[in-house]
Amino acid sequence: MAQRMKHKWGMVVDIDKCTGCQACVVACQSENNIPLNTEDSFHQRRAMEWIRVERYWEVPDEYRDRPEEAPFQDVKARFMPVLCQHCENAPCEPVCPVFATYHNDEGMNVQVYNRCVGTRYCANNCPYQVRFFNFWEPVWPERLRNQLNPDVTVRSRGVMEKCTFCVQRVRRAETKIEGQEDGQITDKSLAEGNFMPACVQACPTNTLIFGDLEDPDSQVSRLKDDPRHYKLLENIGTEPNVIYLKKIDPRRKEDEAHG
Amino acid sequence: MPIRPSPKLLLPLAFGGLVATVVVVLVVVYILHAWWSTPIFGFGAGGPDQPIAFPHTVHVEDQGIQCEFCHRNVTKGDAATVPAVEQCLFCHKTVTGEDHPEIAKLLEYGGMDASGNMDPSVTPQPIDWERVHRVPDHVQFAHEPHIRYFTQSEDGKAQAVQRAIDNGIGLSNPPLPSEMVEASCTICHGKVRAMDKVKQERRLKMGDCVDCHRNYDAPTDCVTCHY
Amino acid sequence: MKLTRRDFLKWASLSAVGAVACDIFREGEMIIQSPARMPEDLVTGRDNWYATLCGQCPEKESILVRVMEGRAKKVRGNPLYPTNQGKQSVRCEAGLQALYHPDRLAGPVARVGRRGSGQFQQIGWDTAMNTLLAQMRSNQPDAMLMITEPLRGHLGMVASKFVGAYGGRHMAFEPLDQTVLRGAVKQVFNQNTLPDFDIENTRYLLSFGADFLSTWVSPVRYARGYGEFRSNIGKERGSHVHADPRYSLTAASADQWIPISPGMEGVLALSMAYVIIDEGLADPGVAGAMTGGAGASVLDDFKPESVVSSDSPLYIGIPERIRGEDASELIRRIAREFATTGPSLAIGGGEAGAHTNGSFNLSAVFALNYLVGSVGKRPGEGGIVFNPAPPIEGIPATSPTGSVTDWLGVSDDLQNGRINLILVRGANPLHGLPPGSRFQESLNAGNPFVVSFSSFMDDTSLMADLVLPERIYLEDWSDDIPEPGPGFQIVGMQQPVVNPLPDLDPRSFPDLLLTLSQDLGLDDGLPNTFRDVLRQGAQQLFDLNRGSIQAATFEAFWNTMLQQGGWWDSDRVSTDSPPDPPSLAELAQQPSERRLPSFRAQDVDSRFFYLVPFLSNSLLDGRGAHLPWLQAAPDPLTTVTWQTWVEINPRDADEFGLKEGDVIRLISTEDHIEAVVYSHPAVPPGVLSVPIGQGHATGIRYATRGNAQRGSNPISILATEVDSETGGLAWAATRVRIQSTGRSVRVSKFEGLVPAFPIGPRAEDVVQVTRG
Repeated sequence: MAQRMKHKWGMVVDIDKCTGCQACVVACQSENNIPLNTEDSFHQRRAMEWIRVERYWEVPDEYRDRPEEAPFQDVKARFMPVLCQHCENAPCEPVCPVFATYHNDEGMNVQVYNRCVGTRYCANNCPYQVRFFNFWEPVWPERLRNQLNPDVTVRSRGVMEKCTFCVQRVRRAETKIEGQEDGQITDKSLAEGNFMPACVQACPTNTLIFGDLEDPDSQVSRLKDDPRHYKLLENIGTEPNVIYLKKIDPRRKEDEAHG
Repeated sequence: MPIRPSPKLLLPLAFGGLVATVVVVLVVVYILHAWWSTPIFGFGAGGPDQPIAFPHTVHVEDQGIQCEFCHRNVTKGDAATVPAVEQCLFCHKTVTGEDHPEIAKLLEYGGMDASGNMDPSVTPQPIDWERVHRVPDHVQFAHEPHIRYFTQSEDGKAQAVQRAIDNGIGLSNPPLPSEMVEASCTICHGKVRAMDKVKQERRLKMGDCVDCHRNYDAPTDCVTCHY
Repeated sequence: MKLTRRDFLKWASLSAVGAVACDIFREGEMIIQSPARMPEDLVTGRDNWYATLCGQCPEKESILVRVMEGRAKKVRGNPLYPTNQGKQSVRCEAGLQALYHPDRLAGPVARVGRRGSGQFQQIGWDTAMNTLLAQMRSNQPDAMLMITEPLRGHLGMVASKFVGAYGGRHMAFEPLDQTVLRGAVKQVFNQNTLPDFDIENTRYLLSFGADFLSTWVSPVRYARGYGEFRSNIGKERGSHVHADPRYSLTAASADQWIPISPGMEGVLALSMAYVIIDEGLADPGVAGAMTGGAGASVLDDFKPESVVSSDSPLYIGIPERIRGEDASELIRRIAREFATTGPSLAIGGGEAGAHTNGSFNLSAVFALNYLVGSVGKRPGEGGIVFNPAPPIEGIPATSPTGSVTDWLGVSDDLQNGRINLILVRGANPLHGLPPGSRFQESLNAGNPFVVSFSSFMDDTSLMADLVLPERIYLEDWSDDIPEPGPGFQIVGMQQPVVNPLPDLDPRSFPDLLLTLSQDLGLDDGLPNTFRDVLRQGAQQLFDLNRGSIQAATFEAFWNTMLQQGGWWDSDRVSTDSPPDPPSLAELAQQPSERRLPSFRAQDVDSRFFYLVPFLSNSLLDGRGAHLPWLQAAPDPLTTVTWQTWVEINPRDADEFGLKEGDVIRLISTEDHIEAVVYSHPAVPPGVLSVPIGQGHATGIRYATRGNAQRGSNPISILATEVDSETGGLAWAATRVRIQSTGRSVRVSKFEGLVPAFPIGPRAEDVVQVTRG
């Protein structure tokens, strides 16, 4: 039997490719038994999207202090998929009184549903706002329950939940691939075995790239030091395992130099 | 001076006290039952009654059928799976047991008459078995890696063989692969081959799992099981 | 009752008896079932991924469906299939919710109340089929009309043979039909099927009006190619310029958006052609052929300097300066870059074709490809790749839809009693036809017998006499010749991946047609089941002995075909050579009513807005409105969910005293609808955009609010303006007035749920300017 491998899972998000199409959002909801977001849940601001596509408006430099005056033709929308950043130094972790959230040795920020008592401290402390609290017992009409994924727990009321990097698929990859003689997890074996996180698999433009940061041949390892790379809210020191690649604007050549 | 209740109140008080005691005892028993999740004597300790009284003794002990012959998925995937009715009927179409009441039930589930012929007036029905073993909420348990460990690694094999010997299960020397699978199952499920009615032998609470994972240097990260 | 440790903790923390009492009624845990009968490939406790085709979008991507215990759990793109290559859209996933929708029709129903009253009664299949047979026997055969979604592959063949043998007409229906696009493709490229736009291998992409990253023609294929196009690893990143009066998803992704007046795309394209020819950037031979040897002078009217001048009759309405660049200089620069950065590609469609001058616009856009030599390329070269004829004889690879002009003819026939029987399948004309088509009134007046094959009570089924629910694509056989294909021969296979749930009894639509034709004694020469029809087709493929499947026997071939999701042969490409380039001189000299758009508006004195409707990114034309994932998927730009909004420029909104959430009335010459105001800074002044997709009143869950209508349908206020050449609906040629209703609602949007944070290292680059 193969020796247990050491992994550090990470993701690269190439913003230059994101078209904002929402395929990742629904793929995630379908894989992870996320409760239906009703119209009311949006009104209550309790809609759950483990991965979301944020939309920003960017105005030219000269209108920075008076954005509402920017001419419409010069305003640009920017899309940015945001999911749990799986921080190495996660602000959500130390505030949990029951250790329901912690960082595991594979680089994932983990939420343990059965430990969670619903204090919501973690969500308050998360600068990325990627934690979602089950204010209600999730309900599906009887027939729709047939779709629920048996590999993922249906979280009950009073529990915090968030992106898991589709840990159920990663676990499966570890048993299925590494359980084989000489089995090794690579980008290829992850993709072929349906073990990529649902959002990564769905993304039509390959904006989202998932892999093992410990594996020097993986795409994430190669892209993590790309000149365009940055991390969300890098300055607060959370050290995320999700790395973003900056949008390229060919009309602003100095951007590329700036990196 | 102690206050003496009037005789008129004595009876209701005594009765109330009795009721309260019974309620408290029941609640305590119930809570303990829930907390330890172990069946308490008289509360299904012998395992639940099944829609068909399926005897593992006959099938395994007498007929020598291997575990994974019926629980087909146990060496391949997460769930061990109970067999489809169809699969029981592979044999029971011919082994009709001469009016054996339990086999008759099975044939009816399979849409057959008592002699094992398809009977259009009987609709095939799935069997809803009572669950015997269950892990606590929010736990994902996969059989395959466990069986793999106990049938392939040196440490695991030794433990499985030891457990089989403890349970009085005879093994060939060296053990056959199917015997190793049964020996592995025995670690958590006990000697099922000797059970007329399956019951839970081991507590299968988190402490139980984690102890074992620690002993064998298996991962004890929470998301190994909780996701 | 089982008390778990978690429950115990919960109880221990509660003292209220009520809470305890309520908890007793929670659902029991899943039972362990030992199923009675198992298909041979189904093993309990294990999942399988089956390849099939997705039926959520017209382009039909190949998908893999994860099936466990006989239930479909997850959809993903089929990595082997050449068009979508493992990717899927937001809509594909939601097919699972159609499969398990709580309001799916369980069996046939017959109308009992007045037409449209929504009163139906359950009937058995035998009764239903007998009723239909009786109708078909007594009906004058020519008086039948079959309305379907565009059908390709063997289903298209079965439908047309059925209609051919019985009599009557078959019309394909699609809201916002592609008649104009097909006309332009025929005219400019001399192709009967849509060509493949090889974005992946293109380096400079010019698009006009087509929202190809979201909903236009084959968005998953285009988006997948776009990802490669944008990649700067090992090659140069592609550049993209998009001209559109609406700031669409595609406009947002482009490096440069050119906000243009609605319908002026053709003029802009000719202006770029002028620059390319004038500056000698095109192949002189081609340029000469296209201008009749006269050179750029034939396009003198279209000089960038004159089309950007507001006095010119050809004024394209773009702002004087865009991102610090003079508008005419911008056109020149883009034209130069387009001509010098090969391979380059110009595509037009969507809004650009939805005008009275739609054909002119698209022809002018597509003509640009000749100037840069991008026409008739081979797959992998970038540019425009023609698609070859399908490998199987007699099955359609394309399905032209009826234009609105054709539908007007249908309405006339209905009124004159020339249509007595209508079969509707996969189409919802009552939601998708503009009021000027008079379809609804004609249906009421002509009173034909209407049979719908919909799995759900949609707007058209509500008017039906008989609804015979068909199987959802995940439960049914079919195949497809994708249009546009990937540039080589391909046949996609659709197989049932699950059986219908036990409480549902839908039937397969093609099987019903085959049964009907047998019962009616029609001679269509087809086998009795659709699966056999497909196997006959597969046999022909097997006999070709080439392509992606090598098999010794037909059974092995068939199984591999099902496993891989289809058959394709990447060597078998189109042999058509590019036709002679179109004459720019002819295009330029067309009369102005052909070159310039005209709009229908009520009276000229009021303040008017251009109405630019668009297909919703998730609901498409409304076929996804009953699926909660799609309703809840935020619109990428506005993040609005569950509602119909109208995008308005912030200054326009201020002028009318409107703020976000105000309900306004959009009034056209035809009718009015209400929509919720959402203003964002990239909406051009004078343009209103409303998504299509909502506005059903059918009472099915999620599509409606209880029994009330959810949102509104902008198609219902469109004027019936048509493209002057092809007769296709000019769905962007309506102008509207707005009026406040005085009411205001909360916008159910995703935006504002979380605080914003900066997008890059230069935090100051981005400023959030939307409210909320």
